[in-house]
Amino acid sequence: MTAAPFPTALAPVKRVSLLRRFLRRPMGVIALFLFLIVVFLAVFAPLLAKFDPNHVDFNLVYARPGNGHVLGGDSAGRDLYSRLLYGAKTTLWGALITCVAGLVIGVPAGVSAGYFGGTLDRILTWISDALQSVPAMIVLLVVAAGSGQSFPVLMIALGVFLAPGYYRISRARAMSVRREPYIDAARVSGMTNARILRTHMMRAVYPPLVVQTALTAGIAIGMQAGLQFLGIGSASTPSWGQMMNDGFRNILSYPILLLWPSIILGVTVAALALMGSTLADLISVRAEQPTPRLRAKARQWMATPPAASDLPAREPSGMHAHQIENCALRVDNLRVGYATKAGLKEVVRGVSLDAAPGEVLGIVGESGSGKTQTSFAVLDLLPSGGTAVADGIWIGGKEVSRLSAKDRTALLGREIAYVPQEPLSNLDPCYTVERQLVEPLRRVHGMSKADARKRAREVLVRVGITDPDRVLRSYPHQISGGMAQRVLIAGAVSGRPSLLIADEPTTALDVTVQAEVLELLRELQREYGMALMIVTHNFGVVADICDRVVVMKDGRIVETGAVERIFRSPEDPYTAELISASLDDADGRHELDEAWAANGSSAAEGRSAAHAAGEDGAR
Amino acid sequence: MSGDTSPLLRVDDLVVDYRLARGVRFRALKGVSITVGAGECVGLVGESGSGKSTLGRALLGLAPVESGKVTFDGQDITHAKGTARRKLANDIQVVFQDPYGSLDPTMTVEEILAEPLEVTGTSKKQARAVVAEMLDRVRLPGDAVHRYPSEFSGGQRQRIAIARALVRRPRLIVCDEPVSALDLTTQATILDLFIDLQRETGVAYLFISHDLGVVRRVCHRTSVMYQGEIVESGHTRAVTEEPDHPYTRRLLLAAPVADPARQAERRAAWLGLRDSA
Amino acid sequence: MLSFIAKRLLSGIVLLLVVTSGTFFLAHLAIGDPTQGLLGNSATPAQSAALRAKIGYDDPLLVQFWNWLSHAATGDFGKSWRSFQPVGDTLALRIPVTLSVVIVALLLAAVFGVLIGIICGLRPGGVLDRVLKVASVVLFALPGFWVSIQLVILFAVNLHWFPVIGYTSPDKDLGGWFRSITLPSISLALGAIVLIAEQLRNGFIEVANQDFVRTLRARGLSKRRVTMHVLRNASPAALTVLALMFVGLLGGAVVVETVFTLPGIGTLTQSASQIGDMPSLLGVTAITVAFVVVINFLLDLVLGWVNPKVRER
Repeated sequence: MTAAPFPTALAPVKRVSLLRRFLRRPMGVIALFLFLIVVFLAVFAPLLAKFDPNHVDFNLVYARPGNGHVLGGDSAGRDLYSRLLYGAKTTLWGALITCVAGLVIGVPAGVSAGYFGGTLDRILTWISDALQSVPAMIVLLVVAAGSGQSFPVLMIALGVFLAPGYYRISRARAMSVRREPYIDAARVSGMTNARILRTHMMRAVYPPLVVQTALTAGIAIGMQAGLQFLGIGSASTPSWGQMMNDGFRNILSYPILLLWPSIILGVTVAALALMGSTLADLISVRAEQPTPRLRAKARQWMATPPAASDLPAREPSGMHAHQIENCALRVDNLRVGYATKAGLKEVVRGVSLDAAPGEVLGIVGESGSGKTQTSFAVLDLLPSGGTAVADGIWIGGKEVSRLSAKDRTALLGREIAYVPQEPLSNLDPCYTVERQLVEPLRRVHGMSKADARKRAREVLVRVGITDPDRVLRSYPHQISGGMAQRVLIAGAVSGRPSLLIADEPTTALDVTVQAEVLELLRELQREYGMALMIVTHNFGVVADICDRVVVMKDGRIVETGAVERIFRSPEDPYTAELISASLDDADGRHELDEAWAANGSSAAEGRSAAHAAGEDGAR
Repeated sequence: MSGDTSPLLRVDDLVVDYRLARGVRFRALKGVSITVGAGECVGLVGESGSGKSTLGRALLGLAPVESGKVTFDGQDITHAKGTARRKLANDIQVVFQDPYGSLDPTMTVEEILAEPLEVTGTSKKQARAVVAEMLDRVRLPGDAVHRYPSEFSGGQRQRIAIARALVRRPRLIVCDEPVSALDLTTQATILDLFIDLQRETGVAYLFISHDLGVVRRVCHRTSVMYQGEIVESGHTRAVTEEPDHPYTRRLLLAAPVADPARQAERRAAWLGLRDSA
Repeated sequence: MLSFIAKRLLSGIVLLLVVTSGTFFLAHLAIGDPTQGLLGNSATPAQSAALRAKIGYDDPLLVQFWNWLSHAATGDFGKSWRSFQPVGDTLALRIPVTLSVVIVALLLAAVFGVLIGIICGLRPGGVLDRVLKVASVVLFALPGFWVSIQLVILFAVNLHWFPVIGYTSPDKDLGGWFRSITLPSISLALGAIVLIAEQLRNGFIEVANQDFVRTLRARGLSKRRVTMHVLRNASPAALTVLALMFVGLLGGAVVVETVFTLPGIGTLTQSASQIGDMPSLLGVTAITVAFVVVINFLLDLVLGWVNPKVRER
């Protein structure tokens, strides 16, 4: 029996609740605290304020604080403090109505539009776009003119205008989630649309909605105050906008009247906005950008590791096969690290290798082995946050690891070229193929426009494109994956490099195209006498094209050797395991079933194989 | 088992059209016929755009069938919708390629695995027992239930996806490139798991892959698809070792083998075939 | 491409129709009999009846709408129910005021937004980037009139750099005109600047992490040239925001004009809505939506130029 090995016990995980993570952000905590104060003031306004906010006392007109009137009086002789607190009540109540209206209108519409798509989506999206193209303030004034100054009606109308925000977010989320295979799987397991919408869709939409509600509440409060400032709303309902209006009319004589409503309105809006943005940060799936400080720390750590670090031994792994002066590429004890908030993550941990001109070196390993990072380090094109340190990197016999970033860039396109994995994502979607091939020839090699175009066309013909003029005119989305990979190879070799680094150049391609591309790489490599460093996980590709192989695991080289020797007698057990994992020489199902049957499995269980044999006549 | 004479699944002359923009149609399947017997594993090999995934989706009711007939256990399910389609969930399940997108990231493993059972009104307690059994079957430790998909490796997630396909004890699982996103060593163990599960439960697979090596490992019979049509079908060993159709031969010779000497021969043969074409 | 243009134009016209008819019926529903608002509480029933007859209010609703629509299509927006001046004339006087404020604000937003966005996109996590992040959140949420008032207090009341209120026509005094629209424009622009900067920054970082950028660098292109590629790919989102901002600024202008007592369409809307002067309200709505349609149309053209994929739709 071919038992799958039982995975070792699961590694412990640390999960931190969203609330706790929120409370770790100082900005979020301060914002939440301020907002809670406003909520407290609003809820307990009748207890906290001693005076009726609408009671007019002529002694209090423009009065300074005193006599129990904490903040004094306004232009009509009403208690400022009371009005501020009751205003908070009005404001929050209004914002609540607006958000609920926006949610109730926007979310169901958005989720169904995104999930069902088609005509429903087109109609709803048109309505949403239309709502967004109407200046809301103007229509709200029209509504206010006739709604008998009814506050809830006005706030619902405001919610209608803010609903497109909810609509867009829930539609976008629903659309991206709908394409996820887990939705298809849910349908296949017999779930109704209603149930999928209720469970999977709502779970996916919920976090961004929380963020959107914080932002919407802030905007709603702002617009509400704006309307009140314009004199909309009943005079007997105290509000911050009204108070600011009162203050603004007396800006030259009593600017102090503006102070308190300005502060409380500004603080409330800002607190909501900051809460929203902190939440957005926490739930965003986007990888965090390493800050300049983290990057500097990574560089420092790579050079001199912190004393307490428990990084494993740093002696180099791998070996050199050629003299330095005979190498197109030589790497000596290369290490690559990324600074994370948890500390330094070393992904390449001491790698030495080399390749002679005209030699094809394969770097082979599984995901996470550090093979791609090694090639990026040689190119000096590590993703941001990555730092490479080496005892030496020689390219064309020249030591380059101490060169400035600018001098390293000068090697690219001339000495070294690069062929990436995904053909279509590696072409700029906004420019034609011609522009992308010609630009480096002109800028890097100083060719004239006509010469560059001629060279680009020649190289396209060389890489096997039969209608180069059409391809030159095309945008990347107009050509196939195999064609795009040929264009990328053309771009790489058009500068006649002495070293070509190909990172999984065939992985994204169909098998038949893969064979063509490998053949092309082999031809070009021989024709130009280039050294070719090819990164792959596929031992078939290694067997096809490589002269020597480097096998990597967890950022270190486990074995280096000539390709025949590695396949014939791998020295490291990991190499042997990788080679045997490729299914070429493994038993097929037929042999497996025969062996299983011979091992005395019951006749009943052998039925499946028997059935297959019975169907053989179908051929 | 429905008896040896009539297969579990029978697809006759199936045609699927996708509507592109402005009334333009793309015929993804041009009259495809295939059978899958109970407990059997049938491979479907082809390159991107060959229609192999479309065939799988059409069986699951996820692709628009223009004409033709799909029969499952003697019952016409070509256009099964609503309740009829949902009832089929008892018998037909699916495992997708992407081990990241095929599990809802907001649910725990227990919720994911129990969901197909809850639909049928299984009690919580019963569901929990089945979930534990299935985790054991796919060789995952029982304490996995309270974890989220993001806390697993690609291979482990694929085991969870397989467990989800198994909880309703289906008779057929459509496997759409279930190992192509995995590392080689993981791929080998997951393939062996598929074989073991088939022997233990008697489930049938329609196994979709672009990789002849993978198909050779798990499939009893194999069909090769090219541009929406099946160009060759037969016993897997015959198809993968002595193919009849020129396309299958090209496909076979194009896939490099992990042996420099044999690959050199294969490449020479491939070049000869290419230049003669 | 031609069908693309025709489609967008048609969609714009439909939008215009829907919004104006929506406003017409909404306003009728909301305002009811306008004569009380127009004449005040002291008007006699006879006076009201005369006014109703004069403005055609006794006609059936659909007839009124058709009358308005058929005239509006020829550019005649009718006469104000209050002053009996042609609405078109009033709009012609007031639109330049609003537009000058909005356009200056948009220019400020575009220039500074793009500048700040690029700087932050090139150095994510830097000091400026972190400041932008907080500023963008807060400034976008703060209402325009609130910002205006703080600016007035600081620059007009305390520093006396700008007039507190009022508008000077550019043909009278260009410097005075500029001084009179500076504060309103800035208070409108602040939120827009940070929003555009934030959009561009995020887009910039997203594009900069895409594969093709590494490939371009591997070809030996200089940092500046690669940045141009990134910028072009990141621009659609920022452009879309810029167009949306135009709508937002038109709305915001209503309140800001009141703060600065500018004789634009904002103050016109406000006074017209208070007395129920329907022809003026409809005129304002029609003209603002027309502007929005034109801006969106231009946006589509620019997006099509920037992104070749859009062109083919």
